[in-house]
Amino acid sequence: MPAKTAIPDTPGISTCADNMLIVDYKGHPDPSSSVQQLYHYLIEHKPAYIQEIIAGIHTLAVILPAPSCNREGRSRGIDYLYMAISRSRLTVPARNRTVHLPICYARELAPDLDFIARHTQLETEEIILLHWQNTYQAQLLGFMPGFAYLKGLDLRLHTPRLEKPRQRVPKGSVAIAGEQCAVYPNSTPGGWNLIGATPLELFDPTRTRKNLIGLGDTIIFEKISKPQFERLCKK
Amino acid sequence: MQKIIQVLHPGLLTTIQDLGRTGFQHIAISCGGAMDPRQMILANQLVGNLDTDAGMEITGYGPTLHFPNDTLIACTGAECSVSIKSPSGDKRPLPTHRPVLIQANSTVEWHHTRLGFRCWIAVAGGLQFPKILHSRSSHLAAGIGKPILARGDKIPIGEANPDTLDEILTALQKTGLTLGSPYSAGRWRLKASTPESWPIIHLPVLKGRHFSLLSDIQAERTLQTLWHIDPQSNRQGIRLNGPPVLLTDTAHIPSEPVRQGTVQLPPDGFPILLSCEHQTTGGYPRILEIPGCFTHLLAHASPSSRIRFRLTSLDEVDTAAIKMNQEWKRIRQSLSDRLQP
Repeated sequence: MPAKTAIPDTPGISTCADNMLIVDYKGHPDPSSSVQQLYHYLIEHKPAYIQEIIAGIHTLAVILPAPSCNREGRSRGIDYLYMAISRSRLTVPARNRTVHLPICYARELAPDLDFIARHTQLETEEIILLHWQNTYQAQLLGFMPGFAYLKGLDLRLHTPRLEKPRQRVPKGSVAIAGEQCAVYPNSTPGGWNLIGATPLELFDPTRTRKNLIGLGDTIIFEKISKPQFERLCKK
Repeated sequence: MQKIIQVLHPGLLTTIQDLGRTGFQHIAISCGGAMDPRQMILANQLVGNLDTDAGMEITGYGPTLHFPNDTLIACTGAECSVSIKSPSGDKRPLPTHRPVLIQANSTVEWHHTRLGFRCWIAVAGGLQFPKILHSRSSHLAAGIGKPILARGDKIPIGEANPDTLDEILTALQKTGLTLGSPYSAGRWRLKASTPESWPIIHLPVLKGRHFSLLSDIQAERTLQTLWHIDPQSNRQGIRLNGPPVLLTDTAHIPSEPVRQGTVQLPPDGFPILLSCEHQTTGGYPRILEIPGCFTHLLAHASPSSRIRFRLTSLDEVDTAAIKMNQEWKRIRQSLSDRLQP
């Protein structure tokens, strides 16, 4: 019988406070994919002694419910996570969805096009083309329900945040900052550069799929005109 | 007919709360709910509700509510001066921390909270807002549920179980119910939930993942400072004011999962304590963590209170949690005994 060997590249698990366990893939090859694989596995196989699952960029955490916040509870959680880490590797990688997101680049929905143009030294048509033609991946969910940090922004479009954040970013705005892109599910203060808007509802607690964009999803922007945008908004 | 409560004045920041939403942090929705869930449970128990029924959380200065029907209510948490105006217009103080039967057409005014910052009001039958993701809580940061209370709001209340009501009233009569107009109330009361040292809140903390980014001097200063609470603080986060702790090593930390109780240190050097409506991920160094069994202490962090951290160990936290749970069971049992006819 072959000797039982430790699985290589097993990430470290640490305890954070009394109720959180953090799996850290820092320094591993492709940590984001490992986090996403584990995230999807845990969502489908969540025992009662794990209350929450949260994915970071290189880390994933679970939160234990109050009755499990003790030495035994934490050690049971850690055992479960080690099992889940190895099982999640064996299962076929979760097939993430592709979300086609209509986007309108009309001037009135993209007030920061000029700032981006000044910063990048590109024509606005070029900016729109570079933004639209790329495919993005949801790397992190956070900030507010329905909000996803999308990676895949063309290098030439990397633009710093606004010096003074807006008091109110309109709902549906598509924005870029640094190397990332995101869509605002609701109006909120924000410092990202607005490049367009989508008419779709990104978060709806009454839907089965509450957040339109899930972790790891591929996002393809579909260009629409202002009249199409308005028509879809009314729906 | 739907029974209601009318909001004549909303107070400083009054929200609808129950025990919050668990199980949705994977889609970036933090738990929210009453900032001290056990006080919401006690208020519910005092009026014969389920633990999970919704009530109100009041912050600093409470609302003025009009009750068109006879209504059993209870208020727990901080001490608060409350007064009641009878239908004929005379005003008198209203006792708290016990069941109180309000006579129809009375108006109750919650004033400033004293010795503490938050109170919880339960109404027999519970506040009947539709549940969203298993909860009626207002999650202000996520924009879920009823927004903060506003003048003119009509708050729907459920039908209280008449048997439970009778039991509570019979039990109160046994212990000396002050029968009268415009209210009837028992003579005993629960303790306020404010920590004894208030306005100083001693917060037990554990080292966070990035504690080592602090120099020895910075670590010591963070733990010794008597931190002020920034007035911008809210249910999402509590910002501290004091001598800033400026990290020299500003290593880039890719966003990672955070929790209620995480103490972040942004580049400006003023720590932020993540509260119940926290964002689920964050990229600031996390220097300290308030254990889950102590996060309810943040409910009384007001601009006039101060916070001092006390470094503790996980073993001590586990021991404290066991003690607190035993005490909690005892409180609930003795309350349930008192409310038996």
